[in-house]
Amino acid sequence: MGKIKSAVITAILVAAIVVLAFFATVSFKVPGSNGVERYNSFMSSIRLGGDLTGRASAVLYPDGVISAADFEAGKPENDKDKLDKYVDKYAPFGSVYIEKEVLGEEEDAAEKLKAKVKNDAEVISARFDQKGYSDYSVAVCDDFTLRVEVPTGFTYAEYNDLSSSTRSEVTTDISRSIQYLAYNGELSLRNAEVGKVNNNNILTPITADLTTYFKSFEKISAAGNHAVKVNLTSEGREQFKTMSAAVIQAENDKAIDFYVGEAELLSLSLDAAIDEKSFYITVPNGESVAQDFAIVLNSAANGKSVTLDYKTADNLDVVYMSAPMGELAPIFLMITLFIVLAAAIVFSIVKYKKLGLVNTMMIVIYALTMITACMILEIEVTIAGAFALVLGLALVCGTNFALFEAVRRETKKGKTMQSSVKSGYKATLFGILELHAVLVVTAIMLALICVGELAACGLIFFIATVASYVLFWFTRFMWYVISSPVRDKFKFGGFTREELNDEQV
Amino acid sequence: MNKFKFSSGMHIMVAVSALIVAIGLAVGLVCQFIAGGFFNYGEEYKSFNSVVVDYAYIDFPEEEKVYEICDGEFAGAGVRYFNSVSGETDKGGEITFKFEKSVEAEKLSAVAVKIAEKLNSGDENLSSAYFHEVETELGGAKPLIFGAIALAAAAAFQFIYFAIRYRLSMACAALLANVHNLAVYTALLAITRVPVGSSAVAFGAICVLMTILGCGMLFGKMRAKAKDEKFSALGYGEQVDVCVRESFMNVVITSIFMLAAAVALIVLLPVSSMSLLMALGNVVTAVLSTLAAVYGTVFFTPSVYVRFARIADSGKADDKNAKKA
Repeated sequence: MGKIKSAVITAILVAAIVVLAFFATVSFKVPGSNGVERYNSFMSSIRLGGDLTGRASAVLYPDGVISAADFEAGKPENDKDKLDKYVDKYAPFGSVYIEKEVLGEEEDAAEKLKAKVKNDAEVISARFDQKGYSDYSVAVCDDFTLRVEVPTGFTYAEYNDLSSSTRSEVTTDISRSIQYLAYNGELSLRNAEVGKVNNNNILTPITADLTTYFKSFEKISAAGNHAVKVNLTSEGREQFKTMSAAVIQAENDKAIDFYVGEAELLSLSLDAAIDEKSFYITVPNGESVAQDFAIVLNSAANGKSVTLDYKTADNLDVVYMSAPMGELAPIFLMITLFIVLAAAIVFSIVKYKKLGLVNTMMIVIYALTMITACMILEIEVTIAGAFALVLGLALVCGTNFALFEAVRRETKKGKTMQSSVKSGYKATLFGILELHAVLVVTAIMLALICVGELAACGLIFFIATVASYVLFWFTRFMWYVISSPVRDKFKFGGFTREELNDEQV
Repeated sequence: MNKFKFSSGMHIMVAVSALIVAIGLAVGLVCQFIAGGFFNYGEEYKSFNSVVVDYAYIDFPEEEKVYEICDGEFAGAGVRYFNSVSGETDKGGEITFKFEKSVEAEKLSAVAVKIAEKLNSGDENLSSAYFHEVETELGGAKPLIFGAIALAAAAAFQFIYFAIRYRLSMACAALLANVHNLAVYTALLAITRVPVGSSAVAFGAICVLMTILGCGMLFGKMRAKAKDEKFSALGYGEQVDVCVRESFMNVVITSIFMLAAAVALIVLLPVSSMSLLMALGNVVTAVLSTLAAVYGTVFFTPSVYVRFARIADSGKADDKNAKKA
């Protein structure tokens, strides 16, 4: 390859890397927007786990149960009668107070309530499990309340309030999720005109078992629209055919409403009777809400109902807690990753001279690939995820170093550089392919079998392994391009060609 | 190291491993009954007691002052929290102090009352502090169970892969190595009582990965050398010894590199946020994972493989003799 061709290819590639690196790492106020608009870099748009940006926490109180703080705050002042009445209304249980009316007269009423709370914790925990959080916790607190903790999943920009609108979207989604996933009661289908007036407008026969109607509810997103896909069983299909035929005859209310308890989740407007295995109901409030509704409906349709009313619609106080590793954890994680990156670059340049620069280029491309992938795929990066990124970097460098050493061994046999590179690749090719194949399969297993944080680590490592193998071949191309104009190709890689004597030859 | 016979001494290796696993089992079982768990479950999986302090910004514009009051009361009562997080409420701030389940509830309730008294020393009475008991066993089991399934699946994949790529006896040895290394790793977790959370599962995965790579290096070397006549003339034990010696440094360096990467990340991050102690448990877990992987791969696997190879060979010889007869 000629000098000019080499220089042009190198310049284009370096320019592309520099531009990408700029947009990937630098955030700035958009010029001409009076400082209102802000460009957030790829890095500051990556979703971060609860260990780096903290968790959202809420305590759910069943109807009739209040906290000691609320009990104290609600005490009537300057009226002894009212105060006595108020105090008499509640029974203290540790740090919570329970209305005696709710408990009832039975001796084991408190134990029964505890059991209900524990059962609800299991149902709500199973619902949160389907949200795909990197980690979450639904715990029984003081025997009678539930404490829910979910990772905020803020990006760095949202965490630092540099992107207020998207931060409020995230916090709204979290509040809604906690509210919806705690909905109590059973699934019912209702219509104000056709439904039974004496029975909450329910459409289905009183004896009907709705769990036999539905196969599943799924969240579907396409082109910015979100919907819940309702999959029916053959019995459900028949029932819907009958119900929808009746509903379209109604004068005003031509919709089948999906209720869980007394909360209306979805409304299916009808133009004609439905005779399909599945249908879609659009959800206007975004992807997270569509997912929440699908989860709650699935849970209720499978007979997993929350028994107590936690009044989450009007009594939900979500607290956004600090990151357990300190407020500056995301910054320091970034610094740590840059130190590791810099160490890898320095080592490769010291050991392999200009060839180390080729490896540096691969390291930078790897870093940019991973940043972009994490941002686009919205992978929630935790400290374990960062470790998977570092392992991927080790794989990229390890693969190239193994190759460089194989080439070095070939040069010691007295071969030309071109021949050494060819033989070096040949010698390492199968081993490296094998290594990457094993790692890809392991990463896929982690991504598919594990849940939460470990699944995210598996996905990150899968992308890293694929990137590493592609970069292994790209190294050869760039080695060829960059070293083409160089006269002493041995010196380029810090290699020395062994001069063989006649006997060795 | 050049004269050390890796292939011999299977009985010693089995005895050492069995001893470690037995001690781990014993410690775990004892702790199951007296300390509330086979392992010392990490923060994300264990139940805890807590004191939640709510304060008003009017009274306490700076969080540090609230921390100061609370820390003073906790120190006075002789209790220590293992973690604290703070957040904002509509009235002001909220701090949650988490304590081990073993810290007495009565003591914490009394401290909470004292803290509330101190915070409300003015007329406003806007602050509060309450004791809470939190049972968290519900959310934590699933990641551990699915993590264990993923590790088992990885070990099964390794067995199939090695059986196709190398030999059945090598695949059996590698599978046993994985089971052995994980058993030693979990026993060490139980013995050392380091907090077991999702990072422990992640390091379990690293242990399996290092075992797969280590066994791959060892058996890959044996396969590559099989074409060499001199090497083929050696007995199984000597062949294995030669290959282990040659791949020893690679296995150790790979393991140490992974350990260094983990430790760098685990230590650098909390050092930056001024809480080195937070990292200690994870560093110990990373070291245990590396130790189990290196010990199992370099010392246990070769001796077991030689036995497997001999059994396989004697089986083949018996088949041949039977056919001849």
